[in-house]
Amino acid sequence: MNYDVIIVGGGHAGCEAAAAAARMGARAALVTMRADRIGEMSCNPAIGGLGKGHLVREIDALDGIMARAIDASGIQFRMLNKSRGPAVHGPRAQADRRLYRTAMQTFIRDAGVDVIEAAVGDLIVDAGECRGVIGEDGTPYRAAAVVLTTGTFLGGLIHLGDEITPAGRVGEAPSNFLAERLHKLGLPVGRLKTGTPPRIDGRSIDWQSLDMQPADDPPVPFSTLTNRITVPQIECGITRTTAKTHAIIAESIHLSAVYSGQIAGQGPRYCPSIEDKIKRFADKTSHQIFLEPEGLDDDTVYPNGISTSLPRHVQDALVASIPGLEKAKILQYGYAIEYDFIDPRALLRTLELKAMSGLFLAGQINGTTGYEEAAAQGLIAGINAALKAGSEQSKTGQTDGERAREFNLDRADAYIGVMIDDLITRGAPEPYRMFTSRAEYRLLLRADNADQRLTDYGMAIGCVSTARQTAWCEKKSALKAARALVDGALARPGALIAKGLPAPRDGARRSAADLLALEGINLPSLVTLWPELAQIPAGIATQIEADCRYAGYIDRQQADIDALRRDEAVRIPADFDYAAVGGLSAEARDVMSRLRPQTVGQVNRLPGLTPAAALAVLRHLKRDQRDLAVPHASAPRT
Amino acid sequence: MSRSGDTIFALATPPGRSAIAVLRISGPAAHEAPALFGAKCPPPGHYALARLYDGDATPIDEVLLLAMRGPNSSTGEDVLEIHCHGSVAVTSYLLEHLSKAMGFVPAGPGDFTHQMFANDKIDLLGVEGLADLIDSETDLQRSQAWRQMSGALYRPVIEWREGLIRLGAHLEALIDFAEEDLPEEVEKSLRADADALKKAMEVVLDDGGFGERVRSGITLALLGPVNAGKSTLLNHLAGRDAAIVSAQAGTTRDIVSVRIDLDGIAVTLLDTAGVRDTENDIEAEGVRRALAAAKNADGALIVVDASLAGWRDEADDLTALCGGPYRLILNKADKGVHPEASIRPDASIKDEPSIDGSDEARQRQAGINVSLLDAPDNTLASDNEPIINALRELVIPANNAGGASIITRQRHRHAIEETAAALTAAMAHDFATAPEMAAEDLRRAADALGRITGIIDVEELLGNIFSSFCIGK
Repeated sequence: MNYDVIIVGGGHAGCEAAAAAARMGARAALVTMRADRIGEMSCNPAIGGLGKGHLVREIDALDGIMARAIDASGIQFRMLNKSRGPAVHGPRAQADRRLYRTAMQTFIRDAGVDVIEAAVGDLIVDAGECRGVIGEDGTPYRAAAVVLTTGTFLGGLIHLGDEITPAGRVGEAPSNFLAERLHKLGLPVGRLKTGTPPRIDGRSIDWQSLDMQPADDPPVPFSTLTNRITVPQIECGITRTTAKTHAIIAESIHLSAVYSGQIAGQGPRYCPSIEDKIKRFADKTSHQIFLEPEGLDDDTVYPNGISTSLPRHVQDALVASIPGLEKAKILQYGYAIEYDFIDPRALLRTLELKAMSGLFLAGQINGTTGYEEAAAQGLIAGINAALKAGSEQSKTGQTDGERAREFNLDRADAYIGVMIDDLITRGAPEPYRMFTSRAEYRLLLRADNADQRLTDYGMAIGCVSTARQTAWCEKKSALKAARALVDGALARPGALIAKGLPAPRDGARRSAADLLALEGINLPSLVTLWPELAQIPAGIATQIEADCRYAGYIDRQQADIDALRRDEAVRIPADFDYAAVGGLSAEARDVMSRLRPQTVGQVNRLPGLTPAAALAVLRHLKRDQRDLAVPHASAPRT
Repeated sequence: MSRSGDTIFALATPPGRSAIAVLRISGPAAHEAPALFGAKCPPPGHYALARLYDGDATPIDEVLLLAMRGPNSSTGEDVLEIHCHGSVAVTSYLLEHLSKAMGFVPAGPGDFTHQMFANDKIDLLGVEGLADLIDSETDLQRSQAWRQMSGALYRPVIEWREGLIRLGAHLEALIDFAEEDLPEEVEKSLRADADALKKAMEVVLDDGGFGERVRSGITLALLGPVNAGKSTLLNHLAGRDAAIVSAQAGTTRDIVSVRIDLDGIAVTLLDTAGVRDTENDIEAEGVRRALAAAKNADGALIVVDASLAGWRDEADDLTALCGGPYRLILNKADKGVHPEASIRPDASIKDEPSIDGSDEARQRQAGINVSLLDAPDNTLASDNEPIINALRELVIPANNAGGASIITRQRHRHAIEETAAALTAAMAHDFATAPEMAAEDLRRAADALGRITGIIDVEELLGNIFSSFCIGK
C-alpha cells in the first residue's frame, strides 16, 4: 500500500503528526510496535504547565488533538500562576493515564489514520529522497514523506543503579536498526538522559497525614471546543524530603548511575534527579514532592520530585524516609534513560532533514523533553509532510493550485515558532523544555489568545476541520463586537471620578479600553459607568481584558516584531558561499558554513555571532541577488 | 561604503607634500598589490625596501613595504602599507593604478574601521573612542577618548547588563517556576538590587553633560548693546585680532567665531552685533543673528558698558533673550560703575544645574567688573582671571566628577536614561500580581543598555536562573 505520509512512533509527536497529516487530506499511516500503547504517558501523567500549556493551546488552535484528549481525561485541572497576569497563566492538568490513551487512540482512529503494528528496521531511500520505511520483517511501506518520532528508542539504555538494560521504555525494546541507519546518514548525533521516579502504591500512603491540593473549581478546559470538563476531579498530596532522606542519598550517591560515570548523556538542569538536587544545592535542607494519582481507578501514584537512578534498596530507604510514605510500597523503581538524539540544527524550519528530502523528525529525537514539546513538533512535521506529499502529487500531473509548499510559524506568531527556531539555531545542549521566558513576545503569545493568533493560519493551510472553523468564526465576530464596545465607551474625567474610577489629569476622554490597561481594573468594575459592557460574554471578556492590559507593551514591541520579520524574510540559499563574504571573521564564517542558517534573522540568533556578521551576509546577498525577499504573510508563508 | 570581499585602500596621511606618505591597503588581495608595481610583497610581519615601477619599467619611487597577515593585523584582514615619499605625483600615480586593478576599491569614510569592527578588533564604544581620538584637539579630549577606548564606559555597562540579567533571571524564576518553593527573600532582594543598579546609573548620568561637552565642545555667545566692548573681549580671549574693533557703534555686523581651549574644553566664542533698534537693514539682520545666536548657544556672556546709566535695565532685557546660562560682564569699570537701583524684582534669574543657591544668582546678577582697553597687544586692563572664571562657570558643570565623566555621547546618555526609566517602571509593578509586566520592563531596560554594546541573550538569562536556584521536580 502506498501512503502520502508515514509516521513512525505512536507517542505524543507521532499522534499529533498523524492526525495533522490526515486533517490535511493526506493518506496517513502510523507505524508502531504496539498499537495498544498509542498515546501512552510514559513519564509524568500530566499535560500543560508554564509555557507547555501555551503549546497545548496553540496545538488546539491549529485543530490538533492533545488539548481535547486531556480535556477528556484530566483528573486535576489547575491554572498555574492564576494570581499573576494572563500572559503567564499556565493551564495544567493531571491525567488519568488510561483515559488519556483511550482518547488519543479514538482520535487517531476517527481521523482515518491506518495503524500498522510493526517494528521499523530501515528507510526506503530513492535517489537521496526518503520514500517510506521497511519493517524488520522486510515489508516495505511506501510514502511520499516520512515523519520519525521514535522518542528515546534510538540507542536507548535504561540505568537502575549498576544495572543496564537496552530499552526504549520500561518493557519495550529500543530501535537499534534505525539508529544505525541514521548514524550512516552522517547526521550529527548526541546523547541525552532523562529520569523517572519510582511509582508508589497509593493504598500504602498515609494520606491523612499529608497536606492536600485540590483542583480548580470549575476546571478550565484546554480546548476551545470543550464546553465543560466532565471527568471527576481529585486532590494531590504534598510532602517533603527530610534530613534522613538527604543522608541516605549522600551515603549512596556513588551508586547512582548518574554519578558513577556510567551515563554520558547530558540531563536537563530543570528536571534534575533527587541525587542531583541534593548534590548541587547542598544548603537546601528539604525539597517539595507532589503525590499525583495516575488515574481514577488506578492505585499507582507518581511522586513528582524524586526522579532517581539509585539502586532498588536505596530507593526503598529513600521513599520510606519521606513523611506519609513510611510504609509505602514501590510498584516500579525509578530509573534513568539514556538515548541518542539528532542535533536539531540538522533540520529545516519545517523539521525536514537538510540532508534527506522527505524525512521529517519530531519529538524527543530532536533533543526536546516533554509531551507538549513533542506534540507541537509532531503537528508542524505532520502538516509539512502532508504539504510535501501534496506537491509530489502535483509533479505527477495533479494540480497544486495556490497551495502552500511549507508552513512555518515565527517567534512572534507562537511558542511553537520560538521552540522550532531555538532548536534549529541553537541545538539542544540539554533536553529542551519550553518556558515562558523563552518567548521575547510573551505578552502577545498568551494561552488565552492562541486561536486569535493561529486559527486563521490553520484555515488557510487546510488543517482546521469544519466544526472548529464555524466555532472560531463565531468567536471572532464576538471578539470584534466586544472590542468595538470597549473602544467606543468613552467618558470625561468627571464621569470617571463620579464612579470612583481613576481619571487622567490631562482632562481628555478615556475609553474603557484605556482604563483596562490600568492595574486593578477589569470589565465588571466598568459596568456601572457603561452598562452596555455587561453584554460581553465571560470567555470573550477575559481575552479583551488581556488585550487591553498589555496593549501599551505590545504596541512598543511591534517595531521589534517588524524588524524580526524583515530579517526572517531574507532567505539565504542552501548553497550560499560564506567564503565569498568579506568582513566576516573566520569563526563566523565557520559557524555559518557548518550550520547553514536559512534566513538572515537566524544568523542574528546564532550563538557566538555578532550583529555585524548578519549585516555582512545581508550586504552580500543584496549585492549578488535580486528577489530575495519573501514577504511575511499574515497567512502561511509559502 | 565599500562592498564585502573588496580590498580597500586609501592614503593614510594627509594629501599634499610631505617627507613621507603612507598608503594603506586592507583586504583579501592586499598582498598582491606590490606585484601591480613590479615588486615583491615581504613575508607577513616583515618590512622590505622595494622599488616600484610603472608599466614601462620606469621607477616610480623607492618605498618601504610593510605586510601584516589577517587576522593578526590592525583591521583583521590582510594589510599592506606602502611608505612612499610624500610627493603628490607619486601618491596620485599609486592611487590611480590601484583603483584600476581588479578587486581594489578606494576606501570610503570609516571603511577601515568597519573592517576592524566586523573582525571583532574593536567594539562599538571602541569605534567611537577611536573616532574621538582622531578628532581630538585638546588634552582633555585626547585623554577622554583614550579612557573610552580602554573601557571606561564599557566596563560599567557590562556590569549593569550582568546586573539586569541577574534581576531578569530572578523575576523569571518567580514566573516560570511558580510551583517551586523558591526562597521567600527573592522578591525583597530583587527590589534592593534593582534600586542599587538604578542608583549606580544615576550617579553616572549626573555629570552635567561634561563628557559630551569635552567631546563636542561648547558654544558661547557674546551679547550686549552696541559699543559695550564685545569684540574687544573676543580679541582678548582669542589672543589675536579676530574681530574688527572701532569706537563706532555697530561695527560688528555678521557673527565672528573664534575657538579657544579652556582647560581642555574646545569653546567656540561668537561675537555678535550690538543689540539696538536700527533702521539699517544690514545692521538689523546682524541684530537678528545676534539674538538667534544667544538663544541657540550653550551659554552667553552679556557685556554692558557699566559706566553708562541704564546698564542694569539693558542687562536684564538681554538676559531674558538667552537660551542658556549666562554671566554678566560690566565693562569700562575703570570709568566707575554707574550706580544702579538694586536688582529689579521681576528680573528673571535663569539657573542651570551647575549653579545653585541664590547667593550665586545674585552674584551673577551683580556682574564682573572689568576694563577692556583697545590696546594693540590685546592686554586686559583688569585682571584676566575673573573673566576666565566666568567662562569656566559656564563651561564646566559643578558636578563634573573631577572631569572623569564616562558618557561622551548623547547616544550613551539616551540609552542609559532609557534603561533607568525602564528599571523604574519595572519596580512600579507588584511582583506578586504583575511579574510579567515587570519582566517586560526589565527586558526593555536590558535592550536599551544592550544598544550601547551588543544584545541581551535569553540563554544567558536561563543559565543564570539555573545556577542560582534549585529548580525542578
